[in-house]
Amino acid sequence: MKLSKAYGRQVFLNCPFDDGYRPLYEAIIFAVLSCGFVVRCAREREDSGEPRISKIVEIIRASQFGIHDVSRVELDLANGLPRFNMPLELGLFLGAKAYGDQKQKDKRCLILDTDPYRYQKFVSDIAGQVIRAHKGVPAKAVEATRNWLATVSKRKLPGAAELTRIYVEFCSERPAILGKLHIREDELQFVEHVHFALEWLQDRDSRR
Amino acid sequence: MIQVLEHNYGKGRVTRRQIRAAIKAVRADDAEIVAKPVARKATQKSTPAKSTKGK
Repeated sequence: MKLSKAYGRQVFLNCPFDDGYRPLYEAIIFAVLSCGFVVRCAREREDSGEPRISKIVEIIRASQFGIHDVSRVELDLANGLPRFNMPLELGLFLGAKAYGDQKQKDKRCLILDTDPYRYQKFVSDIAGQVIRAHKGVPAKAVEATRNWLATVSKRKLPGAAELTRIYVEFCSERPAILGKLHIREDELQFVEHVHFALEWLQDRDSRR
Repeated sequence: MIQVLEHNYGKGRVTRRQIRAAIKAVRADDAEIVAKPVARKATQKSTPAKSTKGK
């Protein structure tokens, strides 16, 4: 299967989607989009007929870049078992990079966690990879995402401080805009959030 | 300048057109607030006191 030209502009986002993590994933999506990249995620298509894993495999294959947040690998309070989707998808990404063709070997990934060395306790095999800590702070996630994309893509991107300032502006304007749509922030689905950020960025740019 | 890249994700429940309209509505509200003239308190000019000089 031939990969589209967009391969070098697509970023696979592997992160949790619970309400507690929402500010972080929204910050990462915003950072990716405002750096001029496309964010891809298993949640972009809600098709019950399509197995989730095949959707993830297809998105990983189509994305040169991947952001993997393992900060929510913790015991589920309900059943006492760890949540392991994120490490599994990180493994698929690293596997594609190891066994794939030349284009797949060019894959680059950013691993995020709350603290820089926490991951060593549950996935020590990835020791040696650069792990960035966001400490659960959205602005730090924006900065980490921007700095990593600037390094791996070698593209000229807005500065981290500027991007964080724009993100704060976005967050302050969002409630009024959502109010007009009669929708709460926690009701926005992945695709809606992406469209919201894209439209806001385009509107902001058109006023400058 | 920030340039975003488009990708066809499909539709959400809230469409892009609706989002665009909501952003424009908020901008219009903001512009109205800025343009609204501030009601000035009418100041009464005090009449100069008549000079009693020479009376």
